[in-house]
Amino acid sequence: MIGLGTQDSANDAIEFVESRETYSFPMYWDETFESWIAFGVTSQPAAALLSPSGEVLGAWLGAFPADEVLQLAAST
Amino acid sequence: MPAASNDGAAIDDAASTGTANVTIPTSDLASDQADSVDGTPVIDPPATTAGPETTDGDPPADDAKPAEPAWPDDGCSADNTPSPTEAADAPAPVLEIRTESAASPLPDLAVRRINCNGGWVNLRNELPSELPLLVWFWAPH
Repeated sequence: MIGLGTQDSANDAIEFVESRETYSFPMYWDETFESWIAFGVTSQPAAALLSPSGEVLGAWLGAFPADEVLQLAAST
Repeated sequence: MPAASNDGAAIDDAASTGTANVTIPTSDLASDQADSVDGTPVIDPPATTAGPETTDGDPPADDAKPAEPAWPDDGCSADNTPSPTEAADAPAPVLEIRTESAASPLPDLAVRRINCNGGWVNLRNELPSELPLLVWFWAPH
């Protein structure tokens, strides 16, 4: 799992990480927005599950369903 | 870089069902990969641990060999202990793409890691991976 953040500033992003205590997976900061554009993401939160080779297994806008994500991930 | 409009509409349209069709525009992304792939691995490789030194040239015993990590050590903590990272004011570096990631559908883009080991990574190098990859899109506000 990775977090892919954008909008606002890098310092805001770091404050977010510290306040949410997200240290168990990489949190990335993209100041260009280009990563979201590449995924077609226009609002957040959102999530996408990709197979090891890059196939899109699922995508969600808003909170993502953990059970469904785990089920899809296990099916690969 | 590719435009967002079509794919963004797809994810928005599907919001009412709770799922969205995110299509990574691989055809557009492929256009820039040829320029940037040179086969050199780049993403902060995990630190390697040297095996025990030997003076007679014999290989170390099997039980003395350090275990291969099952997953690259990216500095993230299994127990969620803090790993604060300073945000460096610097332009994004040009990061090369791993050979095996040349066909990755992810964008060739340097992003800053703001926890774990810190530093910069090329997003394209996240795939292929050993396990499925969940990408969580977030923003501070």
